[in-house]
Amino acid sequence: MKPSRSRAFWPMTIAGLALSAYGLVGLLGEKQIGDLMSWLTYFAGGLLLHDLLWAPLVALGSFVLVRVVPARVRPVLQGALIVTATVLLVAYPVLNGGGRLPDNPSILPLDYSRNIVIVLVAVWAVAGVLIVRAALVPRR
Amino acid sequence: MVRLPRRAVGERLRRGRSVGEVLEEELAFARVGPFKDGAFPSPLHSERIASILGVALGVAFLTCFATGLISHFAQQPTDLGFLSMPAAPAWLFRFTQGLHVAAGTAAIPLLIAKLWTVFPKLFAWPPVRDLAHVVERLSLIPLVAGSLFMLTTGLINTSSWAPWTFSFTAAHFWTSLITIGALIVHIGAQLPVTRRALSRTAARDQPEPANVADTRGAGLSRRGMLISVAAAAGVATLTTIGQTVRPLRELALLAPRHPDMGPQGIPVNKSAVGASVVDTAMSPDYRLTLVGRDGQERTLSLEELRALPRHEAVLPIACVEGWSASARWGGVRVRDLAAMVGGPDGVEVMVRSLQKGGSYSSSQLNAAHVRHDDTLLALEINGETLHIDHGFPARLISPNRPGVQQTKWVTRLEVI
Repeated sequence: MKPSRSRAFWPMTIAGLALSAYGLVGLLGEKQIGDLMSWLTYFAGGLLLHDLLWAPLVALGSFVLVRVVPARVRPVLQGALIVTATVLLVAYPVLNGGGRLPDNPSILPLDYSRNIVIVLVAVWAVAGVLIVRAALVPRR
Repeated sequence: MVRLPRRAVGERLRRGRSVGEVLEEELAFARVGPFKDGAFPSPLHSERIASILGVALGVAFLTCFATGLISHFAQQPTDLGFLSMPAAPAWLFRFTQGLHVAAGTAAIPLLIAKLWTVFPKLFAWPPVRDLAHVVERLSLIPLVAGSLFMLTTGLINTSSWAPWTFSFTAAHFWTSLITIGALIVHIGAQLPVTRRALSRTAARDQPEPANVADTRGAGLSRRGMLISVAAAAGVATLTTIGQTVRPLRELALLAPRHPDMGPQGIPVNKSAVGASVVDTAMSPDYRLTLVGRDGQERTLSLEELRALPRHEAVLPIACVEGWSASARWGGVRVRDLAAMVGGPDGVEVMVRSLQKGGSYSSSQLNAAHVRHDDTLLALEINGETLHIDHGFPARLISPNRPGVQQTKWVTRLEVI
């Protein structure tokens, strides 16, 4: 389906590209930017990791899941996996603990390995209840 | 698609086919793997879901952008006229920066889900249609790379971790402009699609299959997917936002900070050891130097400082990394100290730390902040003498300012 272009297309494209170009020029001209190669690694790295690793892995996972898991429990399982993946991603920096400093215990003060278990147990407890319910409810 | 035996390009051209036709045929032969029709069977790769997630992401990104700009300008030199940070309301900076980090965190599942939904479009056929389509598709590179960069580096930075060798503040700022620019291009290109997908007629024309569970290859319904993504954003928010919303602190299981944990029950960003000020801050030779506009100087020992009129203020320390904690501070008003070296009403004050070097070893107070009753050179926190990590012997505390500008271990105030 070929989308029609809105009248705002070219004005917004030009304005947006101008802002992006200003950002790029600013970045390259910034005296305090530090290592630009490191910036490029993170900038391009996220895109490549997503498109070449994450997306194919999720596709493969979905392919297997659809064939292995019965249809009635599939939705809850998928939902729980979405929440689990998010929690693990968001918790990765605190679990890694790279920010810890011996002279400042107020940074990352909690026991995150224990806490991630608590959060995931709670998520899967809810999912478990929903799965049992989905399995018990008679088919319409 | 029926595949016919493929003839050589030259042969087809000799048989009188036009170059355009042959090119189209060749392109069709290249259509394999994810480029094929039906390569992505899930009904969740829909314009409607992409549009709903897109609008939610747009709101999150613009929230992050606006609150990020507030922080950026709060940390600029103060002579910006009407753009200078006001001293009231005191909670404004804490609120905007808590929101900045919370919106960025919640955007993580939204972005991942959105990229999943539109992933088949990466293999759209034909790859490009016209110039507008080329521009639109190319702008997705800075959009996706920038979005992932902003959310990833922002998240990692909240944990005080810097696995990179670029300057976070500079890179996070400039890359936000690159990303928001690409977002504006994207919105301009997708407006008609979004409008179509979110209209009532669209919902009526593409109803959800009545019994999704029975269709082959199906799993989550459209509503189910959106609920799951919302739940993911909700869990991520609930387990972290307690670092700034105190009533939710016991739920903040995954937050990099706890608002009650630190010396004297308040978190610290830079310790005295980290700033190499232990010896100078504890030295009996400590003096506070006041410098007037005319160059006159006055030095005060800690005892003399303690003997000056004492005031109290309840103010938050609010960090751009998304945590904040309130305390009752006791100390001397900065405007009283400025007046001791002849600083009239309306002056600005440069505050210098014992810390040597580093971009946060000094900060500038604008006129509104100097004038404010609650702007103190604090000597006490919650009734106790300041812990050295909170800036003993004296630190600045002032309403509606970034935590990094609440200069610690203050040794010099210059009226300017």
